[in-house]
Amino acid sequence: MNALTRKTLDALGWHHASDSLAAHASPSATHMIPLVQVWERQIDEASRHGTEAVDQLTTIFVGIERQLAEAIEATMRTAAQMRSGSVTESVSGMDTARDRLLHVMSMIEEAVQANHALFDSVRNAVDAVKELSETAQSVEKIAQMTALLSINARIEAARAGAAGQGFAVVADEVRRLAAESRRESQAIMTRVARIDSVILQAADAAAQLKVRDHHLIQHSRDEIQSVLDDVGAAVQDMMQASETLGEIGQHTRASVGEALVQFQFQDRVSQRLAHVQTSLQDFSHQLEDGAPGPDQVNAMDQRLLKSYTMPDEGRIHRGEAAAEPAASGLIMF
Amino acid sequence: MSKSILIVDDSSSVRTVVGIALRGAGYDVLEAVDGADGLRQLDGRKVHLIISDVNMPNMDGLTFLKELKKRPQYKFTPVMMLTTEADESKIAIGKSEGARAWMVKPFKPELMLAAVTKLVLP
Repeated sequence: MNALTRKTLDALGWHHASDSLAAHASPSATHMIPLVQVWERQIDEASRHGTEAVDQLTTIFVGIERQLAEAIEATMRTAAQMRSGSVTESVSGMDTARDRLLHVMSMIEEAVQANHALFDSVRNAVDAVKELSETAQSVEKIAQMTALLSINARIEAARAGAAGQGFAVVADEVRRLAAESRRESQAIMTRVARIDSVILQAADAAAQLKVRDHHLIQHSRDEIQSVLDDVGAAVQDMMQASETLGEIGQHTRASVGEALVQFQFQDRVSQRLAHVQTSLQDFSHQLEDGAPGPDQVNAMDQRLLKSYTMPDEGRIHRGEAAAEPAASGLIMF
Repeated sequence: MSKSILIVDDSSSVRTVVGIALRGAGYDVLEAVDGADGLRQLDGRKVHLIISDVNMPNMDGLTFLKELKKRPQYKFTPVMMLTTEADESKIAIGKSEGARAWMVKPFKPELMLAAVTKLVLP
């Protein structure tokens, strides 16, 4: 027996020492008991519905609070990692990473420039050697022609007899100079060959440099990959944190959606109480003309029954078990 | 320019829940506490949809619907009844008076929004 029933029975002058209404109501008022019990059941159901909805809302908000705590923790964890840990060793170390990459690039540029300079030098040397070789060949050719010329001069001097004696001496001297020129040109060619050998050594050195460059490039590639891996790991961690926050946000949104459905309990409770209130006013008006008889009580019962808007109210009225309201029954016309 | 929707409901919590869902979907929302207030709020103003409760003080939702449809400028404004009322006879009256949909509370906001999307004027 609830407070309303007690007050109602008090107003009617009934006794209610025990929970049995019929046992203590005056015999002339027993026909009113079912209506009073309907009020009691409706109010109990409204109270139960309110309590249940508030319990569910509490559970939902506890869940939301927990999800927000997780979101905050995830944010703080990421922030802490960004400040001190591995994540933003790369982020706070972005400048360092950039410096490392710039250093690598600088080394590569220096190496390439050195190679260009070396190749230019070797090419210049090759050209010089070629010129030298051509000059030496020209000198040898001139020496051969000069020697041939001196032989002809010697023959002509012999034909001239005594008059050609002096010319023969000159021709001998020319032949000797031609031989010397030839020796010198051969010496030059020997030196050119030696220079050519030096150039080959330079080419070997350049080849070695090329190998070193290859290692340098490999090292640079590794270094760049390492930096990219660090940055990638940082980005991955941040993306993971972002995804976690996104998932938590979705759960929170779903929880809020559930809460929004539960908040509608207030409308249902209000309507149920409004119907009981109207019935109580009806009863109060009846009381003004004295205690209502069985027919009047039955009419009040029917008016209350007709005033219901929710199927659940009818079930509770008849003393049947309440059914959970189904969400979102939609009829499109 | 956002489309505007009038909510007519005596329950502030329902107006709040419907309003949150509609504003979140980008609609402008007007609120009225009963049918009479709904008619006052409209006052010639164009709305793209009206969502109305049925059981309200002063002027209930079905009377509001009937009064609304008497006004030429709102004759073709779609109305969705959003109510705890599940009585077949009331639903039939709502249909005959020109309601386009009848949704029984409690409602899920996403389903309510799906219905709104179908009904709202272009």
